Amino acid sequence: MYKYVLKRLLYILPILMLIILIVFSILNVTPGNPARIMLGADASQELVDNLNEELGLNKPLIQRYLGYLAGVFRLDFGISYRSQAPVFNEILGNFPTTIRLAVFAVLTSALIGIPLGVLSAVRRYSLMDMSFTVSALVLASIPNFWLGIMLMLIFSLRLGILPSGGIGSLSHYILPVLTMALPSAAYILRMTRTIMMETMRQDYIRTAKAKGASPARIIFRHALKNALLPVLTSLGMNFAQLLGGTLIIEAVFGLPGIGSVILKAMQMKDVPVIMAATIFLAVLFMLIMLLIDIMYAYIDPRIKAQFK
Amino acid sequence: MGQLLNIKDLEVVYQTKNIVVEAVNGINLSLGKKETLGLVGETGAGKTTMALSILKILPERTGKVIGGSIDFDGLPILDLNETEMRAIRGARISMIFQDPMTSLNPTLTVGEQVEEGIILHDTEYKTKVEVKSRVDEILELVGIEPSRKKCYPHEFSGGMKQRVVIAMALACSPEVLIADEPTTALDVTIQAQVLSMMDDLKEKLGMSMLLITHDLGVVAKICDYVAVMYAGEIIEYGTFEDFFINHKHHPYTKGLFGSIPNIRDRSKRLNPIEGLMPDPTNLPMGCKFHPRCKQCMEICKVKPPQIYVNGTHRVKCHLFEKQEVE
Ligand SMILES: Nc1ncnc2c1ncn2[C@@H]1O[C@H](COP(=O)(O)OP(=O)(O)O)[C@@H](O)[C@H]1O
Ligand SMILES: [Mg+2]
Repeated sequence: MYKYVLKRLLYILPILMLIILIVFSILNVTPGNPARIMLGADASQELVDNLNEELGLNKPLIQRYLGYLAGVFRLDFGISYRSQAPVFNEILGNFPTTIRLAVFAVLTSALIGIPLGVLSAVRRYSLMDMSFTVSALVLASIPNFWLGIMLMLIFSLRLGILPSGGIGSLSHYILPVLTMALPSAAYILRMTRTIMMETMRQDYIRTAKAKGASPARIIFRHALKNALLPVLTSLGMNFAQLLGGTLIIEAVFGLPGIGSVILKAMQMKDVPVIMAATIFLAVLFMLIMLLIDIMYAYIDPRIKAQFK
Repeated sequence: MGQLLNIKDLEVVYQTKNIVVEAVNGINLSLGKKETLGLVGETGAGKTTMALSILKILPERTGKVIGGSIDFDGLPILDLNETEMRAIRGARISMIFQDPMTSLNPTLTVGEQVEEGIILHDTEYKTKVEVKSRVDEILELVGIEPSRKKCYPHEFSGGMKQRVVIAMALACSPEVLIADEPTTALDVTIQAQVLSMMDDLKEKLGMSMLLITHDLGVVAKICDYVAVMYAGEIIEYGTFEDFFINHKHHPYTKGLFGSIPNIRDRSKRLNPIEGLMPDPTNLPMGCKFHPRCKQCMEICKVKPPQIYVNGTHRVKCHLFEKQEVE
């Protein structure tokens, strides 16, 4: 098992190098010169050229890429064009907010989606199941930012019970987390329902029934563990979407996370910051995926056996 | 016949949106204490459906018993509620399913699955230690090393899995064992092993058995009675001798068994018969076998046959009604 985890951690390296290469190339072909942006439109061409020289921007792409890679492994992500501060510190300061947001959102969506999905499957075609289905459909089809604004209007402006933005206390997270979690909870609910219904049709469920097991026992002991595996995978997929979603949600709620860092950096064409933020997100995503794979192995003895 | 299980005029349908599958159409069968009844018939004849009806585990929503009665040791099965049925399932009537590969839960150990029945039911094994030793005992009985109970199903071969399934079914010493083609999914070499083991256990534990099978060798070897099922009906029933000695057989049985004297020929499989089973959503008028029957008469196309009885032997065919009249 440890070997497996170690192997998976090592896999992250080449993938990361590839991601960096892709982002690096894309940023290079987009129009707009960072030095020109930093110095403003009125600065003389000479000043711009000097700055380009100083930042090493006139070196060939491959050389810059390799230099950058070497830096990344020393946790040196360069200097922000905007603030002139080391990028690493800037990102590190904003990262916890995003992680908290995404982790809370995943947990919330799982805690809502999985139990309700199981309930929906067990009481399929009932009034409850149908109302879940309809709500899930509505939630999944409205845009995230709109949901955020609506929640903000109701809970902060109308009812005044929750803060509308910024950070400070845990209550600041409630609305953004809900905004992110509700649509994915809807998705997970539908997913769990389908998978659970499929599981309940399996032969071993019939075997359990023939043994005299009660419906509750069949659901919790026989079906849930089997159904949880594919649900876990979809949770992982969902997390990727959530990470992307933080970009917008942070902007809506004025949260100082990675998303707002990226937004600001993009406006400024602050390449080192965009790069670093992307790398952080990629690593985070890969670690989560690894975590899910490990959980998989713990639930499914067949997979566990492969890593013995 | 002092009967343990009596099925009377049982009718079962599967109902989906706008089609009705008439799977079981008026079955009468009984099974005495310690008897083995072999049930044979082509795929789709309704054998599994009948077995599931006895335990009342037909697919929810779609499967419905629409007529008849099932009596088990004085209990009207069809009138019992779920709680009462749960006390019977696995404790007094057990079932072994066709495919051991899918019948076991992949996320629970073999031991956990074998002990489940013992824990669920009110057995003589109360304490943890007693349950554990019972699991060991029953695993040993089916030829599995008790130390392997910590293994998961995927670590077992098909034959071993079916042994586990059998152990599960026997754990509470049921009075009736329903085995639905217990060896069909296994290698030919293992089939004989598993079957002779089941036969031994049945004797040892004094159970009654309803054995659904395709294997005529098996029927010849271990069944006291044989019932032939076609399109949801029992078209011939009798002791093994009735089938072997008697010459008055249903044309379907004749086709199925080939030349009857060869029935002793071990591992003989059912003969394929020309034509297909009738569509259960649109069964033919008269005798359900008449479209495939080589001896079909005019009356067969319009009137369902009566049952011709001769001692223990029963045949549902117009051929013999006519002979009776003559
Ligand atoms: N869940 C179901 N829904 C609809 N039809 C079914 C279902 N299960 C079985 N049937 C139909 O009922 C008939 C009898 O099936 P079954 O009892 O499985 O036969 P056997 O076990 O003899 O092969 C077949 O025509 C089959 O297609
Ligand atoms: Mg069957």
